[in-house]
Amino acid sequence: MGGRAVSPGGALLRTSRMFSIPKPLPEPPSTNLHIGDHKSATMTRPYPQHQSITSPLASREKGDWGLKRPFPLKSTMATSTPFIRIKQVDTVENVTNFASAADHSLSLEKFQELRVAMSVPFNTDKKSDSSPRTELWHKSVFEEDMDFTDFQRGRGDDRRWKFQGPWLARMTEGEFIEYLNKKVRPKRAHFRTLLKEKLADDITTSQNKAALEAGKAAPAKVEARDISEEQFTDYLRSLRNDRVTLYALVSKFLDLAPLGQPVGIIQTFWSDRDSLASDSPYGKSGPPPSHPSAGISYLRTGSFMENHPVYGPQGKRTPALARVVYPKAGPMSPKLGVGGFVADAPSGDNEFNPRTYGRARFSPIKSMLNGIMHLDTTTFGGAKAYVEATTANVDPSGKVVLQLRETGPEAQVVARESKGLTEIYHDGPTKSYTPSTPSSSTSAPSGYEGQRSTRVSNEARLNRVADEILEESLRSDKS
Amino acid sequence: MPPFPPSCAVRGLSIRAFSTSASKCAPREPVHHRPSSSSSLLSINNPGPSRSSGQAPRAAASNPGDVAANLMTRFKRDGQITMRNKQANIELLRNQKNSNDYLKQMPRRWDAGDVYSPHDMSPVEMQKWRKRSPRGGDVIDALGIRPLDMYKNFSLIQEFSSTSGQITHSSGTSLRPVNQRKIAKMIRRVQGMGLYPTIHAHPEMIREHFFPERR
Repeated sequence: MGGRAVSPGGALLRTSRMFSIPKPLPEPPSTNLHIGDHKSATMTRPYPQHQSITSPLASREKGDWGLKRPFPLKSTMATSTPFIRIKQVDTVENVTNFASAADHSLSLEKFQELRVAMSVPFNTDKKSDSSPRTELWHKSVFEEDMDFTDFQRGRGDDRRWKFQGPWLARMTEGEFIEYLNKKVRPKRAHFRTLLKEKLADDITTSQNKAALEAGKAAPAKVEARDISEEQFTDYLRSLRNDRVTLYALVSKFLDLAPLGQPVGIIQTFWSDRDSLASDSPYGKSGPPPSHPSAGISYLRTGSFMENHPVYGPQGKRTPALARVVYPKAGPMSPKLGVGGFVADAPSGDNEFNPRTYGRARFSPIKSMLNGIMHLDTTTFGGAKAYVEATTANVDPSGKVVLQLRETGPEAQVVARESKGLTEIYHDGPTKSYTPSTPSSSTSAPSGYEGQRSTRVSNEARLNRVADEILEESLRSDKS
Repeated sequence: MPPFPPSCAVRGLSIRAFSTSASKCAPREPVHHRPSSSSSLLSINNPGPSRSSGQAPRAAASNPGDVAANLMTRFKRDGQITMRNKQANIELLRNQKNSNDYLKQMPRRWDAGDVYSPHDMSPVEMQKWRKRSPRGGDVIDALGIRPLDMYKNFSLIQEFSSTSGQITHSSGTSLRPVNQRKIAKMIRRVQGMGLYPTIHAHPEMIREHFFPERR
């Protein structure tokens, strides 16, 4: 049956939309694992589970979405975002179960407008600073030394993102017990033979080294079958006390996702050992459930300079308008929404963080954004601010976590002008400006006149920029 | 002469008081107006009134006739500043209360990495976050415990039985049939042994109803 050539009808079916719709992804763990948690069944999930489908207007007018039956025009034509997700192609009630997929489709569009490059999570572990090259800047997930799934012996450090074994930190107790019983116990004998071979290798190398130092010929190679039971038991006992080696051996044997290093070990002393967890970028944060880019962005880097048609190369990237989704609540930082993705407000000394003075704790700081300390109920549509999205990474539950940074006032003004909210660019002569040039410059040749006029207009423009920035700060003071 | 030294002292005191007031007043002006580099750039052409007003009291202090008036204005200004501070504090408290009242209608605690669309902000959606959603998975499997060993765990028994000692149906516990049977057997046993009451919740669980001060 498997070897038979596909009939024309079968081939048509296979390429049809009905069969090319992929299986839905599992429910995000944050919505099904947390038992008795506060949640909603109709919330927008952190990642899309179903494929988003659209259809051209001519077909949509006929209700044709490439599926078994035409779709109701009343719901599919009355929207400006014609994206649907198919929950079930055919149900017992003879209907196709579908819903709007505008939420994730538009979020994807907005995310790609941000031009954010995905990066591996920053390793905040102080101890593992043996490789400082990774700590200086964000590293793209598409780097060749990290973006591979197959295990190769030749590689010195294992920096994969995909592992055959589970991530022990995320397993529940019941899953862990089942994993031990079903997967680990049957492999005991195999692991013992591996350990015996390793012990034989160790003994051979130590014998060879001793013979080399003594100036004798190398003794015969020790085989695994030559090792006595007492010798092996002693070796097992020594391994029990050497946790770093044991953990490395076990995690390599079972191909476990990296966990943090066992505590209380001097890292530099053990760094020559073949330990798995030391160099993995996912040792601290946990491995991502998908490719670490999550397919949401394929940019390699965010280190580029934007060019404005009038003002030239820009120091800051085009900022995005962020909504203050939730104000600061106790130790939780305020949450900003950028393009439909919730992110922590940028840390540091900026308008999103209250400065903690000892005495002036109660007085509101003038330069702070209005919706940070408490909900802004006066601004129409809620408080908003310009931020710059630097990078994003995928956390173990599949969420895309954006990293935000404050942006400069000039970039904000330029962004506002591009939306038509303000007007800075003004080429003609301005009335308010009186150039305080010395009298000697009046006798300058007429060739300089053109230059001076451009300089004047430049300064007038600078004045306008200053005006705009000032107005900005005054506006935020008043509100 | 007894009255002479006190008068001298009074005069000295008063002079010192005025001199300190003038020096105290001086830095308060720029703090209030907050000139930035760009604003000073802007005000190059028109000399601002703030500059002249800042130097006015120092010049007036030399005239002994204006000293009392100066003192009065200073007191008035201090009073205004404290009143403004108090008003700002009241405003802050009012904002805080207003904000808390509104945030009670937004029970969802957002987490970094959540994705939202307009309907997630709607009141209908927010109301769904208010109440605890029913359990989805099998707790016994997730925790990896043996139900029959849990007969001394009164809070677990209470979780799977009603307040009048009845065993909760599997539709309410969302356990798989094997675990539901084990839990039911454990509860039947513990009630039969007389360790757990059959007609009300365990006294340890309802103690705080009767002895709220004891813990």
